[in-house]
This record gives sequence, structure tokens and C-alpha cells, in this order.
Amino acid sequence: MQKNLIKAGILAGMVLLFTACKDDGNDLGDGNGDTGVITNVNDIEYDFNVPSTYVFERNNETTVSFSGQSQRLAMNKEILSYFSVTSGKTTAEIEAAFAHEAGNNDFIDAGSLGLNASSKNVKSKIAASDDLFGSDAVAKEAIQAVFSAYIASQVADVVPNKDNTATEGNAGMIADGSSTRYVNGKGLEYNQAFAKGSIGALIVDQVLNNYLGTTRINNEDYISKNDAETLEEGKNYTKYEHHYDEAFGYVYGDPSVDFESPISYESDSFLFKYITRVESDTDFSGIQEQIFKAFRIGRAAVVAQDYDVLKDAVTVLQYQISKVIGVRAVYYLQAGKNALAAQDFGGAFHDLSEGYGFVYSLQFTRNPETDAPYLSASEVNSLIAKLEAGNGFWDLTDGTVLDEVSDTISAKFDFTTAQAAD
Amino acid sequence: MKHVIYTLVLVVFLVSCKTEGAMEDCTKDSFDRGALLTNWADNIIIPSYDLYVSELMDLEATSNAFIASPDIQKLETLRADWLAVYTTWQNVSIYEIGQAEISRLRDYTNTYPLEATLVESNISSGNYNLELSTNIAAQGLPALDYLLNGIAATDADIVVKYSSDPNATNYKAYLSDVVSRLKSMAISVQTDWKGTYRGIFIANDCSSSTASVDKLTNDMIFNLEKVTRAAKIGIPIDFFGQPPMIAPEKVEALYKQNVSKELLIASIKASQDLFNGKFFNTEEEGESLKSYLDELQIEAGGKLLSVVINDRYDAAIAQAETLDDDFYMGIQSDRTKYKITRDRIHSIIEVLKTNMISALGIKADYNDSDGD
Repeated sequence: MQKNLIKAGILAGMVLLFTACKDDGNDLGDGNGDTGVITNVNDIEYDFNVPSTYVFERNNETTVSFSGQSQRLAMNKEILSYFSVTSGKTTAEIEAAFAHEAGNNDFIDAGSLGLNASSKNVKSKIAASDDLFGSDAVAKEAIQAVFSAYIASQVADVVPNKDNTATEGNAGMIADGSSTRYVNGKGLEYNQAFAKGSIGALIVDQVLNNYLGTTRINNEDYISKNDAETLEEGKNYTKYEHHYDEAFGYVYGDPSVDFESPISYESDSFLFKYITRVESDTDFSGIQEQIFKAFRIGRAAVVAQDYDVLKDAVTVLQYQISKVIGVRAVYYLQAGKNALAAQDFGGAFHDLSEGYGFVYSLQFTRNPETDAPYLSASEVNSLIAKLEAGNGFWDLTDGTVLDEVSDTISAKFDFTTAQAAD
Repeated sequence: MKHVIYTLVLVVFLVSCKTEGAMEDCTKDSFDRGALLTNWADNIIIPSYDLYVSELMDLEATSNAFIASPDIQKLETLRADWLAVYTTWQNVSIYEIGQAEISRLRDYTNTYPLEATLVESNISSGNYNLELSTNIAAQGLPALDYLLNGIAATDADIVVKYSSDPNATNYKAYLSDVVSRLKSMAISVQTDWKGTYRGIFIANDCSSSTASVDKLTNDMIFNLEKVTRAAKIGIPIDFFGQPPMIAPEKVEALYKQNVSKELLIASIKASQDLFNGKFFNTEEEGESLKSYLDELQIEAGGKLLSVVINDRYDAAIAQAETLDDDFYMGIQSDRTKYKITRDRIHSIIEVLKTNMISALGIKADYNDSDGD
């Protein structure tokens, strides 16, 4: 009798132990599959008001600020313009813009963003999230070096051959309808690799693995300041609110975008643009509102100091934003395959270059069920190696490798290659 | 009986759920931290203090001789002894643990820029207490730099300050007091290491935020970041300035003017030697952070992490070699090469603070602010 009681006591203790020690990152799921992780914004339950626009105020003044993100997006756009074969920019000049330092005249700097005066730059935020790279500076620097190499190779290999016709193994120009594309010896456009790769390495990484990452979201100091509504010095927001808005700003921070109710991507050329592109595929319609609504719910949850709801919004964002990258990677690989089949090399190489960048970006996605990227860095590198093998895109004409890579990607997500392809 | 069991279960529960930062138990891996700590204590730290103290004693002797009958030749000898002490100090500076931490040895020994006006007012009043924290910037090796190199324009005029100057007695007293205080502080730390502290240091061989390995590793990184990178280069070149407002008067050994480079290089080498477990003043190596990483076979970017780290130390030292002996003039003529050196040092810190400490399960005990 005594023994049984003791056993029961131990058992009860064990149950208590497991319950109490459960990771509090992704719990409280309700009825979305069997994982307990919420991936659909309409499954989030909350008991506070969520505005229909991204408008948050304290004492009748906005608490939303993401000027640093707007600056970085604008810088990235300007850096990409320097990839033009007629920009006349040297490697050192483009690299200086990439790793901009305050006060240097690296940018044309039109408008009121103050890019040259800004202490922000793009390079230092490439592969720089707390969660993925906080304990691996070597990996961070290696990825930053990949982007610097796109710059250097464009200037060294492609620009000097801009008047030559590209052939297998030789950089040059190639016609794509009325456009001319400039590719390296494997058919890759470096500006596309940089642009679409930075959607992952800069934007998705900063959003999902840094500002909405576990390290920040669970930071007790930030939480206690948010609970006490301790505002940052001279600002109208708490640090926690600001971090959240910095995540938001990487998505909707292009100055042309109406961030309070973003519908059209206007002149954005990064993540938001491709959210709207995925939205226009009927297989994924609704994804744009999933993301925007999750951002609003999460922000309202920060104001309401309801961190459980915030975490639900974050898992939705992890799932939906990652999906955008996965869909676009497969979409472009399939588009490239079809163009190759039609002997349209210029169009195919352009699609494949975009696809290449999105494939690269997959290593910065975040699966809410595992808190790891949908594809690891080594998985991504092996897919990239397949695309680049031999003469690269020139060798992909029969479509087998492109289907194989596409299927590898879609198998990691809950969509099919066919759904992403149209 | 039941209560006992429940209590036991509760204890298990509490132990299992506790998080980092809470009271930590003594977890160990295959690496023998005791051997590492013994190597650090017996072959690196204590020999550093031994040399540092013996050089301070030489300095005191030459200082006393100079005070007894000041002349230019004795001034030169005194400067040479000061430089020897200053160079060895670059090693000692790292070990801000135990009695050194309690007595704030680093602050009292090498806070610069010196407050020369405070030194002069202390001298003219003859009324000062160097044990007060208000006098931190008026003593130590920077004060000696001033007293031996900066109080007058020529060597002859400096000697005059200690001989025929109306305030000569006070100048002599201040020189003597600064040297005495350097020596007594160093001896008290040395004595502590050779007494009880060595045992305490080695016995604290767990893995926790207060364990010796964790603490000294943090000291090493902190020293490289704040003392080497920031104080010696970053602050004088106003690294973060927008636009930079260089401050050449903030260089180390401002008044001597031609030894800033060798002190910088000594500081980087001291850090690298500690990382490698290299015996102080011999080429032999013992258990170290390097051997610890290698034992765990930690890699980064396809190389052994210890190789990555040593490559970065080597690159920083190679870049530092390109600098001018005299930083005061150098940063005014070519700030860029100083900035590159600062970045090379930063790249060591990056990999120590991320790859290394996470591989070894060491938690950073200080943090930078987080950018924007």
C-alpha cells in the first residue's frame, strides 16, 4: 500500500515535471493538424481588439517606426542598380555601398531617406539573425562573402563581356524577348542571385530568425519593459514594439508601399512583391491577408501584453512567409524548365536565376514545427550544386534535374510542384 | 515517509526545470578543466605576475636612484624599465579575476587618457590619496608615462623638474608614490595567487557562469574587446563617429609617443598565447581553449575552429605590424589602416564570442548593445 502510494506520488511528480518543463515556444495550438502549431491566422484566438490597418498609437501618436528597414531596402535596390552592365561602378564602389558607412556618398540618395548619412547598411544584416547565426560568426561571414562575390564576379566576369554573346562556359549577353540578360558562364544573372538571395538572407532571416526569433521574443528584459510600458528614450514605443515593427518594416517598408493597408507592392522589389505574386496563384490565394493579418494580430498582442497570442501570430508568419519562398523557388525552376523546352534560353536563364536566388533563400526560412529552416544550409548548397554542375543552366535542358530539385523543395512543404508551378 | 518521497520528487522537478542563470550544478564533459586551469595558473598567470612584479621592483630601484640624484642617463634607464613593465602588463591585464578583480587592478594600473591636470594639481598641493577612485586617472602606467616623458619639453627640462624646480620635492614624491602603488597592488595579487587563490581557481572546474574557465574566458574576450580593440584603437580613431572626430590624445602611452604599436601587438599576442595555452615566456604549450576545442573536434567553415581563430589572430598581428610606432601621429595621417586593424581584431572577437563560447557551453557575461 505504502509502496503504491509512493509510486503514484512519483508518477504524479513525473507528470507534473513533464507538463511544467514543456517548451513554451510553440504551445497552445488549437486544432490545426496534430502538431499544435497554428499556421492559419483564422485559428488564432484572442480577446483584444485588432485594428484592420497597421495603425498603433499611444497618446494619439504613432508607435510604429521602421525607418532603418526602409533605408536598407532602398540601399539594396540601389546596390542592385549598380549591377547594371552600364553602371560604370567598380567592385570597390559597389562593395562600399553594400557595406556602407555613415557619411560616405555611396548612394544617389534621391528622396528623403538619408541613405548616405545613415549608419545602416545591408551587408551587416546578411545572415545576421540572433537565432541562426548568433553562435556562428564563421557561417555568417561565409554567406556575406557569397554576396560580395556576386558583386565582384559581375564586375570582373560579366561586365567586360557585355557585348559578347553568352555561350556555354562563357559570360555574355543573351536575348530574352525584348530584353537583354547578362549572364555568367553558367547562365546565371548575378543581380538576380543577389536580389532573390537577399530576400532570404536579409529579409526572411531578419524577420523570422531575428526580430520574431526565439532569442528576441523570449527576452525577459524586453518583456518586462513592455509590460511596464517603459518607452525607449525619446521614443513613443517600447523596445519590444519596435523590434516587432522592424520585422514588419522589412516586409512592407518600401516607401512606395501603403504599409497601413498594403495591397499593391508598388515599387517594392523584395519580399512583399513576391507575397503578392504567390497570392495571384489561386492555389495560394489568401496568403497575403494571412501574413498581413498575422502581423496585425501579433502587434496588437504586443500592446495587449499577450505573449501567447503573439507566439501564435509568429508561427503563422513563419509558416506563411517561408511558404512564399518555397513556392517562388519551385515556380521559377518550373518556368525555367518550360522555357528551356521551348528553346528560349534567355527567358529560361532569367527564370532560373530568380529561382537560384529563391533556392538560396530557403536556408533562412523557419518551420514552426521544428524552429529550423525548411531546408538546411547543406541541403540548399547541394541543390545549388546541382543547378551549377558542369555548364550550369546550359546543361539543364532535359528538365530532369529541375524536376528533381523542385520536388525536393516541395516535399519539404505542404504544396506540390504542380501547385507552385502555375 | 510519503512526505519524504514527495519532497524528493519535487526536488527532481526543480532540478530538471532550472534554467541557465539559476544556480547551476557542476556539469562536466570529457575535457579535463582542472588540467586547463592548472596550466593557466602555473604556466601562464603566475609566471606573468612573477615577471611583472620583478620588473616593478627593478623600476622601483631605478626610480629611487633617479630620485636620489636625477640625471638624463638615469631617466633613460627609468624609461626602459617602465616600458618593460608596460609590455608585461599587457598579459597581466587579461586576468581580472580574484584579488585583481576585487582591487580593480586594471583600472588603477592603466586608465588612460591620463588627467594630467589632476596629476599636476595633486603634485602642487602634495595632498592626495591614490587609493581613491577619484584618482584612477591620475596614477598607474599612464601617470609614469607623463612623469617620465611629458612634464617638460626636453629631457634636460624633465630632469630639472626633479632637481631645481621649486616643486621638485613634490614631483619626486609623486613619482615614488605612483611606483609604490603599482608595486603594492601587483604584489597583493601575486601573493594571493601564490597563497590560497591558485587552489580556489583550479578547484572551481565546473561549467557554469561563475566557474573559472567560464570567467577567465570571458575576461580574455572582454580584454580583447574593450582594452585592446576599443581603448588602443577604436576610441582614438573614433571608430563609430559620424563623421569621425579622431582623438589622438587618447592613444596609449601618449607622452612616449613611439611605443603604442608594440604595446598593441603585445596585447594581441598575450590574448593569442592564452588561447593556445602557451607557457609564459617559453614556446611550450599546455591544455588550453585550443586543445579543448580540438578535443571536441569543433569546426567552422570546414576548418578546425582553433585554426580559424589562430588565423585571425595572425591576420590582426600582421595588420598591426603595418601601423606606425607612434599612433598619435599615425592616426592623424592615415586613419584607414588603423580602422582595418581594429576590424581584424573585431573579427577575432566575433568568432570567440559566437563559435567558440557556444561550442564550449560558455555564456557571455557581458553584451554589446544590439545595433538598431
